[in-house]
Amino acid sequence: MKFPRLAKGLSGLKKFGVAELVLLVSIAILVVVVAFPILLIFWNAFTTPEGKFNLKDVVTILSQPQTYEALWNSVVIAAGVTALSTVLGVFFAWLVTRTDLPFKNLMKLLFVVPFMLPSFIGAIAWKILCSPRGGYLNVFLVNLLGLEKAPFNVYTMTGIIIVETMYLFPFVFIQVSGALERMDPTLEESALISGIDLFTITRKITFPLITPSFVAGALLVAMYSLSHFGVPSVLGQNAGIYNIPTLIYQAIHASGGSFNAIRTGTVLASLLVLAAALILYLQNLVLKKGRYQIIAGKSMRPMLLKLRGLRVPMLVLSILYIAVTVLLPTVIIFLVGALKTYGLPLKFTNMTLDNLKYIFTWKMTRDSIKNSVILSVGAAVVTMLVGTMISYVIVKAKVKGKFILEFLGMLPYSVPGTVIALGVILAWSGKFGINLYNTAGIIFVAYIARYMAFALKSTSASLEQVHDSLEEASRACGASHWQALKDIVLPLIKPGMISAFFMIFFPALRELTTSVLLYGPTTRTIGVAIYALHEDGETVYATALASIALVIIVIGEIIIRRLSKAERRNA
Amino acid sequence: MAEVRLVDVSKHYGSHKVIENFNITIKDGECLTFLGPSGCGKTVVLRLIAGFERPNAGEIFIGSTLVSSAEKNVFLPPEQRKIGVVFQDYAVWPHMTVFENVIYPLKIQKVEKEEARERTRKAIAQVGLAGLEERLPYQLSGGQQQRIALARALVSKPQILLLDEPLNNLDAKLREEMRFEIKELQKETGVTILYVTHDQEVALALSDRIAIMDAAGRIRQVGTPEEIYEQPADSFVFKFMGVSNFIPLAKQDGRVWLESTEEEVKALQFLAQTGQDGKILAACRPSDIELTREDTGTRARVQRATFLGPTIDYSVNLGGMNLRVQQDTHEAISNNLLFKEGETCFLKFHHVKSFAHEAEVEGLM
Repeated sequence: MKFPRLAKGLSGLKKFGVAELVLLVSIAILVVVVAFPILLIFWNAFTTPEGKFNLKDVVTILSQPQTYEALWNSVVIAAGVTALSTVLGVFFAWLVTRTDLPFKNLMKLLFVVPFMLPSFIGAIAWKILCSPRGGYLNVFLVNLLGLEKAPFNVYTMTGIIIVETMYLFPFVFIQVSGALERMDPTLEESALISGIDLFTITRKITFPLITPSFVAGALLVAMYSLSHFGVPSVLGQNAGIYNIPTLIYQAIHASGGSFNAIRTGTVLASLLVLAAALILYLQNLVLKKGRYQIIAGKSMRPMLLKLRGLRVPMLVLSILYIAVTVLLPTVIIFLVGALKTYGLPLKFTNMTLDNLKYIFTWKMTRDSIKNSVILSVGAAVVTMLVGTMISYVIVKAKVKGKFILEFLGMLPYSVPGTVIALGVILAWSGKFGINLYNTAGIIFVAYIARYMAFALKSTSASLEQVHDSLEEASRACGASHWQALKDIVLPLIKPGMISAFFMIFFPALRELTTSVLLYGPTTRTIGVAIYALHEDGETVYATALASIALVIIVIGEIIIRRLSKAERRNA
Repeated sequence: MAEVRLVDVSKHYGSHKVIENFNITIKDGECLTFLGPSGCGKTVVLRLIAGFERPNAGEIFIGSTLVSSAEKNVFLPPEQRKIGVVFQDYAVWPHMTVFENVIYPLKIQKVEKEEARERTRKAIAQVGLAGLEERLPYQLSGGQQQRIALARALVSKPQILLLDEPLNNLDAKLREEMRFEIKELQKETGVTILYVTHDQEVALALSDRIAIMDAAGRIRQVGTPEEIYEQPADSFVFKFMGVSNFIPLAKQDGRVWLESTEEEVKALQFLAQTGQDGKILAACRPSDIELTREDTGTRARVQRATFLGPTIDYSVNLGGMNLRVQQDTHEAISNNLLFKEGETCFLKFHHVKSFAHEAEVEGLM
């Protein structure tokens, strides 16, 4: 693109201003951090070490029974989780927005709380509760009802699907409740005036209108579940249930990172990328079709269905749901984390604070907390700044070649965490001059690639709200491009940048899927440490560390809420 | 203060040619208005002068300085052009107070602090916002926000003030008020103004000269408001300046016919006295047609009569064509000339203009 322009000589160079430079830098960053590692995965999957095209190994790997079993499991789990999340999400969203359920605002908040609980910690809790041998809930029920064998077995596909759904359904809930709130109530009222009953209206008018939102939410769940490592790994490995991410992990760990294992990993990862691309394509299709303008931006007062006799039972059902999915696992994590030895009855006399003390004195766990905090703050700051720059070029700059950046900017959305980890291993293990393997640097690079999408989304949204004329007005006042950015644009998008920081910081703090493939002896993160302790049978220490992580997360969430509330009041 | 000159300027977006070989000179100290339908490229011309867009061909001068030239690869960025711009959407910075907004250009130019404060206070007082210096924009009305933008554009004493439909987002009453204020400000400061709008009333009230642009980005006529209104260059300009009636006619041997029905129109006979024979387009305003009961030889039928207070608005049918007619209420009542819907009447014409053909009217708005 640039060559004919350079050929113009000096006069051409003059045109090469700030915008072109920033564009080139942005493209370079996205290529190095995201595009190049992904290309390497495909390259690695389809060539021999000598660089020759090679389809035989691909066919061999794909025809192994464990591969297509894992693929089948991935698909079944993703389908199950998506279906269940959609049913639960739509139902609860409708309940808190369109009925006269008591304490609706509180309930709306509570239904988003499952997001705060990292799903692999949830899985550990459910394992402790419902393991067929000695799970606390199983033992309790056996004793209570005099059963012969444990009523629940969480080491099954059903178990995995149910536990994953508990922590992923808010995706659908948030999308659908948002759409229901913004929908123009006159659309339904005019149908009501025409004498149509509320059930038919819901079926024929309300439901079609929210279809785009719930499909968007459902596809998000599907994409997330397909590449999800934590829950299937914690609950599936004992029973020999593997999905693609856990199979990749297994292949690489069992062999200590040999070439063949990586080759297997890259072939499997290619499958994940294809699946993710397909889901993204479907999502665009639905969103394009579903741009109903009738869902307005402002909120209006919808008409509410009177639940009458069902009002209290529905409230009880909602509270029970939250209690079972959030409260029970959290409590069990804290209780087991305080036990003297795993397996003891949950009595106060069996409790101790020594575990916590040990976590803070033991180098491995202490380092993991330190690593996670440093890595997530660092990744959040860098990704937020780079993301702001890239968004600025995409949204605002008038520069040729912008479409390249728009395409590259789409990539991070579609690449699962496991794939990023593999790509990063291929790119940064010394083959291309820089070796970050076994250092914190490789996790850092992976986090940037993984969370770039969040930064782009948040900062481009706030940049779109800064009308071009605001910047142009300052140019007309005599400000240079840089001055206009500094005085006008940056102060106005600051809230978006801050929210981008937190949107990266918190997920990074509890990240497992990517880190688990990248950690070295001294670079464990909190997620990895909890996972490893749990794998080693150190359940008590695993849960103690998990409870510390939960406390950090909850405190952090409270701080964000305070901050964003204060920000809104100032705006 | 300076003259602004555009010489053979072209601007394309991809294959879409917005303006082509565009020439105009804005004289030093005058207020020139670009008046044209939306999408005609008038805002693009303003943005080219401001330096927000680069021309594909041609040269732009502000004063004696060449600010844009595609051929010589000259491009002065907006901040070096000494301009003031007021946008349709105000573009007042929401995170700064009124005072901070207005003083910003002076801060950038590193004007000495005391002087800057003094000039800012004066500019704020000039637009009638004294006492509101410490307010944030969201605490002010739309009209007040547009005044901030005006003060901010004027405080640095620009060579030219560019106004891009600045009154569009205001309600009718405020629009009228602001229109006089801008005129007053220009008298006080003597600044050269380029005003872009599609509202012909604003253009007539405000401008020293008006340039009428058509949808293809061409200038159809440049002149004083009176010239434009009284001697429109073609039917496009005529139509743009107000509600219009167009009657396609054919004339020969001192007689005129309706083109559609070949009925003779005696009331327009006078058009046949001058010019060549052939097709012509007669044009007039609703107030140029008189409804009467005396036989003028041209009969029409009242389709609709709407009482508007001081005037009555009629739609009358002449040979299958609907004409708008405006009648003074008092005169109509005292002369017993009120017509009901369905009634037959006769037409009398005053101040009728004739244009060569009709084609130019098409594609308007």
